[in-house]
Amino acid sequence: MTAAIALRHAGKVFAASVRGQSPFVALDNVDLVVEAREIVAVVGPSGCGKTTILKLVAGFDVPTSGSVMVNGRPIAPPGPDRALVFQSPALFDWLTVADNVIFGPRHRGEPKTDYLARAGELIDAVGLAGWERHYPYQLSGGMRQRVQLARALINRPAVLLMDEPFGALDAQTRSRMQELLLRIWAAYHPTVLIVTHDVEEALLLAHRVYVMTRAPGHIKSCVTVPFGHPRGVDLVGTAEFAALKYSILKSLWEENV
Amino acid sequence: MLPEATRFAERERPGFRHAIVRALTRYTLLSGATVVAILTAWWALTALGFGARFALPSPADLAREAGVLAAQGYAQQPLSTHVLASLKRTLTGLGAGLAVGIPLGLWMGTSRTVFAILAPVFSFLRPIPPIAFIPLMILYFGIGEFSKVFLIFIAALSYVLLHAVAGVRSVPHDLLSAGRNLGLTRAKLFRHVVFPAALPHIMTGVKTATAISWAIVVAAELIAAQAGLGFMVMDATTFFRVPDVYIGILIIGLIGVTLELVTRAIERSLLHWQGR
Repeated sequence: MTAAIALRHAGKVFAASVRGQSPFVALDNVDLVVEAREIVAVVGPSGCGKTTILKLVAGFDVPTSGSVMVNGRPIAPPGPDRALVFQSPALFDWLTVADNVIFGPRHRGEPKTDYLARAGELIDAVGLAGWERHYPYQLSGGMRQRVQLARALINRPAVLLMDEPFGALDAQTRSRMQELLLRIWAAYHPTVLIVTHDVEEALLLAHRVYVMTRAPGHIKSCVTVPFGHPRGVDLVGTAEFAALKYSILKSLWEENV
Repeated sequence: MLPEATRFAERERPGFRHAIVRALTRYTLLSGATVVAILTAWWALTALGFGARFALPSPADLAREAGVLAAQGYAQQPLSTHVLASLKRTLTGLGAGLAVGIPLGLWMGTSRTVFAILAPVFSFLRPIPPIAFIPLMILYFGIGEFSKVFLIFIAALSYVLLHAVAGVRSVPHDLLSAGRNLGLTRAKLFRHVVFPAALPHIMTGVKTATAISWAIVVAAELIAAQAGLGFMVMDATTFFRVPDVYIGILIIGLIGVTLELVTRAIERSLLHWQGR
């Protein structure tokens, strides 16, 4: 069976923007696989190139070496089969919650009855029932991310790409959103590639965690998370979780020396 | 949970009327107090005999003269003819300026090439006070309506264009990425993401262009016109009808304020989603 996402020896080098600077290596020989219905997290310090991976998979950028495949096919231009959730709310402020959610299928000309039914279900699933006709400025940060999640999932994407989706939220809201994502996964089993700098978040959500380092953008290790699903946020209180978190943090600390 | 029909029903917008009411009621009391204070000070100055009566008529004198003007008109034409002449020139020039300036600005904001080609023209025109072109306009087009309307057209165009360009450039990068990620074509991305996201800037341009157009029409009429509020002020100065000069200025000011209120109400109604 082909993997949902497969990076093989993928590299990305940016040409120097100022004369005299050397080209910037964002990704160096990255191998990364996400199987269908799996949640995979990439952790690492800022600037390690983890967002570049998402941009390659989303089709906003092309690798300078190696290959990036989605469902066995080379990456295409950006499209809703690889739906993105941004760190910034990135909502259409002039549209209601409902109109934000149906934005993609509506403007691609899909049948209205189909996407309206899916939108209703997803809005319930992300806990925004009753907020359909509100505008983004009337929502809290956590609610805006819920809208983004529904706006991405309505496209029935082959993969859901999340770029630090909860990074801008306060700690309490963040753990509620993590729990929401676990519930969504239990209900729909989407394939998820999530990028985060938060080791705890990666371990809580993912089946496997890729650890990246900054020297320059390569994958140091891949950790298989031994906890079964369904999971809850109380998992972080267990001794096994703490030990695993510590070992990953330690391997990241070693890099900074 | 709402039934499907209601959840996705056409949203109600806070309408235009709602926007006007909000614009009028908020702090209206304080603003009214300022107007009353100025009128009182004016009345006190004239009552105490400060300044020559002919240069600074009292509010009562003006009210009396306004009554005469309203009944008899000015220069054999009813007052409304002067008001409408100025308004018609302004709105025609402004309308044409917006109709050309907004699309052109959006295009310049989207395409570096188009911007490079057209920017020098407007960068050069904008800092020149439009009044400076009046002699040339008269030379080219005579003293008829066209020269005045054309002047307003150019001024409105160059201001709204500037803001439309800024609007397109201010669209957050993530929003464009989101649109592309959701599978929008270039045309749809422009129409459903770039345009609405640029609208706040465009509306600022519309407000500026409106205010400037009104200022220009009056200036243009000062120099060459047979009707209009600017003509009235200039003509009354020539014949030393000082109260009529004041009344002309007051009407110009009041209409300016009204135009401002109307454009602000349109802005609030179109941009209600900003939550201000």
